[in-house]
Amino acid sequence: MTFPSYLEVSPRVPHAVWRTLRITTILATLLLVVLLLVEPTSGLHLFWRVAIPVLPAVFFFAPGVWRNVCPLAAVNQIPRLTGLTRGLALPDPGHRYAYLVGVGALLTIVPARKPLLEGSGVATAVLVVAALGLAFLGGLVFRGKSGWCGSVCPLLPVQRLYGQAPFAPVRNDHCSTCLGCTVNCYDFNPRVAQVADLHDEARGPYRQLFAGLFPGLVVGFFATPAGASWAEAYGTVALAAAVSLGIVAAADALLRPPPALLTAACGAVALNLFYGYVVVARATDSGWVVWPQRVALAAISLVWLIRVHRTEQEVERRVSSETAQLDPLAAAALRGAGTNEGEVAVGGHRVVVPVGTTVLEVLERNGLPIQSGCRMGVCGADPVTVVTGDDALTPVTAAERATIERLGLGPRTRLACCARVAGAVEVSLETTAAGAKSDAGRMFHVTSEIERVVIIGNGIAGVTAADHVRRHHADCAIDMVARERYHLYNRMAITKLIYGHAGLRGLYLMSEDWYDERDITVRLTTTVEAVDLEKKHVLVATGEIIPYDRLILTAGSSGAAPPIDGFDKRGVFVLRTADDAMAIREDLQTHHARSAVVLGGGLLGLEAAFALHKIGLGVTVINRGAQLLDRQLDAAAAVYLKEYLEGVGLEFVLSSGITEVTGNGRVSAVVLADGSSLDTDIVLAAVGIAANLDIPRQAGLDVGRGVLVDDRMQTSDPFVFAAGDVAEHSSGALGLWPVAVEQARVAALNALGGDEVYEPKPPITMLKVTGVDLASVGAIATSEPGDEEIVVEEPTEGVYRKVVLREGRAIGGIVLGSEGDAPPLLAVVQEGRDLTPVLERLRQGDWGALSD
Amino acid sequence: MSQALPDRSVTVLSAYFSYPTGATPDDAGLTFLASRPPRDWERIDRYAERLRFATGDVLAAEGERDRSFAILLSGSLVIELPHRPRIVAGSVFGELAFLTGAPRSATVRAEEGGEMLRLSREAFDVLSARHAELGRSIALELGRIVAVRLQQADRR
Repeated sequence: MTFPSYLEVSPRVPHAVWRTLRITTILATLLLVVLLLVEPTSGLHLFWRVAIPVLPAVFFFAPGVWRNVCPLAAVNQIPRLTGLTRGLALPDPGHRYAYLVGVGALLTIVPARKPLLEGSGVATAVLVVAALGLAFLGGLVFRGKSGWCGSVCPLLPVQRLYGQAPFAPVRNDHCSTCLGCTVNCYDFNPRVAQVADLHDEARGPYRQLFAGLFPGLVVGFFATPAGASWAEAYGTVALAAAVSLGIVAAADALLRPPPALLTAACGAVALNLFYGYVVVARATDSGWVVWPQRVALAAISLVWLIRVHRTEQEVERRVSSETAQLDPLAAAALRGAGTNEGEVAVGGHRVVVPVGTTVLEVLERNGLPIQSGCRMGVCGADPVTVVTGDDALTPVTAAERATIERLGLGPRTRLACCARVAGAVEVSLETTAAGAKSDAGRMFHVTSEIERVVIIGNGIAGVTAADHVRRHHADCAIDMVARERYHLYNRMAITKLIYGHAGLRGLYLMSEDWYDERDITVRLTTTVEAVDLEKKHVLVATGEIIPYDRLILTAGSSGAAPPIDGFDKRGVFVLRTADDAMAIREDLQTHHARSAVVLGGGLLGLEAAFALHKIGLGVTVINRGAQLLDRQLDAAAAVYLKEYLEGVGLEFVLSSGITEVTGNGRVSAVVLADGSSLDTDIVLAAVGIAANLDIPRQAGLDVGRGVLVDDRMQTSDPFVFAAGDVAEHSSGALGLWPVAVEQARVAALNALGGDEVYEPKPPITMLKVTGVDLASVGAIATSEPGDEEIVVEEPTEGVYRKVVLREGRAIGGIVLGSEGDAPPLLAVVQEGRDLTPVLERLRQGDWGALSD
Repeated sequence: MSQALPDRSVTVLSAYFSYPTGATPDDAGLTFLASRPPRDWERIDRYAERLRFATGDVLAAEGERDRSFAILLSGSLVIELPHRPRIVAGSVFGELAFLTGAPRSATVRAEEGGEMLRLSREAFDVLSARHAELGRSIALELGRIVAVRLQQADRR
């Protein structure tokens, strides 16, 4: 059961019809006045014997009809329609006492009917004209319907009493806009108006008073003999009303009924009495005509009482839950929202999302245990199993398929970041292993002399290389040597180690069995002492010598420590590995840190800053450059990001740096480039990465910023290949996972005798920094004459989209703050699609043009 | 006179009469964010999660920690307390756990299937970082609602 206001229901009868009816009733009323004066007998009959006896029934069955066509209301609204009204607000005491004025008027008019009104055409005409005049005057002075219909109208008390559970609800047609003119407005929400008044300390007693005396008013009126004197008429009505009040008060005291039910019972009694009398007055014959009518009326009244009671109960239940409510317009707006929806069922939730949302997004936003990393299907942090509705997800991407194969997961596995919702789908967070080993892919002749492959490094490049070596060579020995003490973990999520308490659990990207299943020997926490290119072996610090036929170097990179005075003080950290993150968490706790300085406004710096903010520290990010994320964003987008992060609560010092870390043994402050000092409990640097070159340097390989490799990922030694952060390819070393994965694949195949060429693709970054979705691909700004960039932004929503064009083809772009708009950009850039046909639409701000 | 509903009924009932104009936050009683423009509701809808449920589903379990509040859009819910109070469409609930982070004090079950919007603390943080005024208003409104209730409890 809902109680919509009139603004929430659509009209069933057109406005024009109501307007015509109103004009008709005004004209009819004027005609009646003329008739009362000219032909009083028929005029009086028409008014007192036809019109008045019909009204209670109308109020009872369809009060809204009368509210819309009442001539007094129509006249009252003329000043509003014509703009003549002064539109004053009725002051609050007015609201309270207007009702009493209306009741008083009714109590005055009804008893006057027999001594005066029903015998005098002139008096009745004066009454009607006076009412019309007062209604018009009320409309002239007060706003909305508060000058008559919602305040002093003598019929309003009767309408409210009878109109509590209308059999035929009719929408208010007077107020095209609601002015909020009346407290608990009957025209706004008729079914709740009476209940609301009854529970209002300032109004309830008056409503009950009227209900209590109303049956008496009816009895008193009919008990007054025709032609009675004034004193007799008023005396009889007053006496009956007093008795009625007494009975109702006694019933109330004894039975303690709910207030709306009590007033409705009074109304029902009055109605039955009224029509009982009317029927008797009209019935010429005996009781057999009268009784069925009385019984029918009583039955209908009973149904009505039950309806009133239900309404009241419903309201009471709402009240007892003590919940706050939306205003009806807001509720309607929210209910109406959302077309083009999909549905994701997972872990007992059914989430309704716009089509195009990734499953990852759905899981994250609902607090379900899912990890995330690269957000483009390369790292494999977020596998899910599709239970039903495969075809309601976007197809598996190439990167995603490769990752699922590397992980050896079952055929129903999807990576949540790649699966976008297009319909109804059910997913599970449990994953299953593939039944059979996936096939080896493209086969080629494996150089037979290769029996031993050694891989240095256990990051994504090392693991990918090992996977490909095994897939193409079932028999060779594969040895992995790694300095870190953990299996492959999700490095992109290490800041979770700072604010979360789950430790590394959940960050592992593969099960421990992965190596055993592939017959790969892995040595963790193992330092490589030397590589002997002549003897083709690796000497590890434990003294063990591991011979190789092919060596793949994937030793990765380390966080760079900036050359700053005092950087060796306690409480100063470089963040790069899981161990770094856990050490930071420990330090924060031991030293009850309250404030932090983060050096570096790149990805890791911002993630770390957010992690520190999240556990309650005051964080200042100090960035050398004038903008944040200068690799992924242009200046305009960086401003959006900065404003957002400031909104989150981070503080920034841009175009600056620190010259010194001060403190006695432990950091207590940093000195900024301008000489000012900033107190802090901890300093965390994330200012860039440097390839781990100690091994290749010692071995004598050619190095630049990284180990130099050709397009086949071969180093200066023909038996040594390199991939990932440690390698320096002519396209630049970028520290990106997709690059590492592709390079590792090429290195592995070529190490086995294949002839693969590494083809750099436009670098993609997909990430979520602290609530900001960002996709950045290829060129983020124009660099050559003739290049064009088109920006489509929504500043108020923090949405910035940009595509960079060269000779009509997309070479890069940015999507910030609107995750769903990223895939078309990535697609057009990767395909290098010619956008000339849709250029005009793009320039006009139609981002959707990219999808066509 | 007759047995009256508790005082708070006035403020709850006022939700049925929150006119599009004229209501100020001070007299909004237990109406959540009265008289806000549609774009604010669009934003709330965008940052919140829309959850669908069927009759009998448990939407919040006693003791569960879930820092979020919700708006029931359709259907109805029953709070599993002795007097089985009901949450009807258009209600805002769960604000105490949202504000304090305390575990849910009672289980909430769907009496009739429908949809609800759930705004987690994280989503709220994102919303208010981007739309500061709206975020501030939501926070103040939730605080005000709790305070109004407290006042009414005191008066009783």
